[in-house]
Amino acid sequence: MHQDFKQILAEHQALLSRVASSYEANESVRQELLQEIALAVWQGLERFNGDASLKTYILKIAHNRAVTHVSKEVKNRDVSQPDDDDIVGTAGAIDEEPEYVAARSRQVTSLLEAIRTLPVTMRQVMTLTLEGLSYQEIAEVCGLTKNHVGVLLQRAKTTLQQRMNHEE
Amino acid sequence: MKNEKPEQDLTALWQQQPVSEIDLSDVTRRLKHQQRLQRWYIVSDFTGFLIGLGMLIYSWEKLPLYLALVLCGVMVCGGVFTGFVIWLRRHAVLASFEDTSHYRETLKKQYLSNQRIARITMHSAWSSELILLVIWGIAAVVGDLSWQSFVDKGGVATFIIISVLMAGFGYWAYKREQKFKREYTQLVSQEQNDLFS
Repeated sequence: MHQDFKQILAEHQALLSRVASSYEANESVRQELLQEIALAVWQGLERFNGDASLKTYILKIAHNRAVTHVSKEVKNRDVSQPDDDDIVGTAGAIDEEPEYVAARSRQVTSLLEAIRTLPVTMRQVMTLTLEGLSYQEIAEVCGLTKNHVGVLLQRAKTTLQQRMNHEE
Repeated sequence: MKNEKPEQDLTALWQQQPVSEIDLSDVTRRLKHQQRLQRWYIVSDFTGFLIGLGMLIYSWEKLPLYLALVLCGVMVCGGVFTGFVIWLRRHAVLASFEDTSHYRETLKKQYLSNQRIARITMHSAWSSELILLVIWGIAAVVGDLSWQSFVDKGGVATFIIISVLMAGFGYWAYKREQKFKREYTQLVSQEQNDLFS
C-alpha cells in the first residue's frame, strides 16, 4: 500500500509543486511546503474512496494544506514576493535561444507573482483551470457552483492580465 | 501577454514553471513522526485526566466534603475541556479532505475556538490559584488548618512557587491567544486580498 502511495506522489509531484508555488515565493519555504503537502496527500490517500477522480482529490488536499501554510507561516513576511531569483533562467529548453528563454522566464515569474496576489478562492479557481480541470471539477474542489467558478475565473483572468501588463 | 489566446498562453506559461521534487524518504519520516505525535496526544489527553480521577476515587473517603466537591468540579470541567479539545482536533483533520471552501470555514472556526481555549487557559491560571486559596480558606474556617501548620508545612513557599508557575503559564496562554488571532486575521486577509494590494 505504501509503495502505491509513493508511486502516486511521484506521479503527481510536478502538480503538487505548482500548487506550492502558487502560495509561497521563497524557494526553501516552498520546498518545505511541498513536503508538507505530500505528507497531507499521503495521509489523505488512505481515505480515498474513488467518489471523485484522484487528481481532484489530491488537489483538494494540497490546496487545503497550502491555505493552512499561508495563515500559519507568513507572520510578517510577504509570501507573494520572491526573495530569491531561482525561477529566472530555469524555464525553457536547453536548445532554445537565450533571449527567448530569459523572456519566457520573466513571464513565468510575472505570472507567479500575479497569481500569488489573487484572493485565495480566485487563485484556486485560476490555478485549477491552468491545470486543465473542468468547471465541474473546479466547483467540486472549491465547493462552489459552476456559475460562481465562471465568474471568479473571468475576474481572475482580467486581474492577471492587468497585473502582468502593468509589470511589463 | 498581449495575444489572441490569453488563456492558452497563461496555461503554457503555467506549465513551463520549474518544479521541485518531493523527497519521499523525508515524507515517510514525517509520517512516522506524525503517527507517534498523534499517539502521544491521545495518551497525554487522557493520562492527566485518568490519574486525577483515579486519585479522587482512591482518596474519596479520606477527603473532607468541601475538598471532594471542589475536586469533583475541577474534574468535570477538565473532562469537558479535554473532550472538546479532542473533538476540535479530529474535526480539523477530517475537514482537510473536504472541499476548499468548507475547509477554510472550518479552519477559521478552529482559530476562533483555539483563541477561546487559550483565553480560558489564561484565566484558568489565576482562577486555579484562587481555588487553592478558597480551599485553604475553607480548611482554616472549619479548623482543619491553622496559620502555624500552614507555614510549617511550607504553604507560603508552595503558594509563591505556584504563583510564579501560573504567571508563566498565563503568559504562555496569552501568547497563544495572540498567535491564533494573528493566524485568523492572516487567513481572512488572504481571502479578501487586502494584504498585498
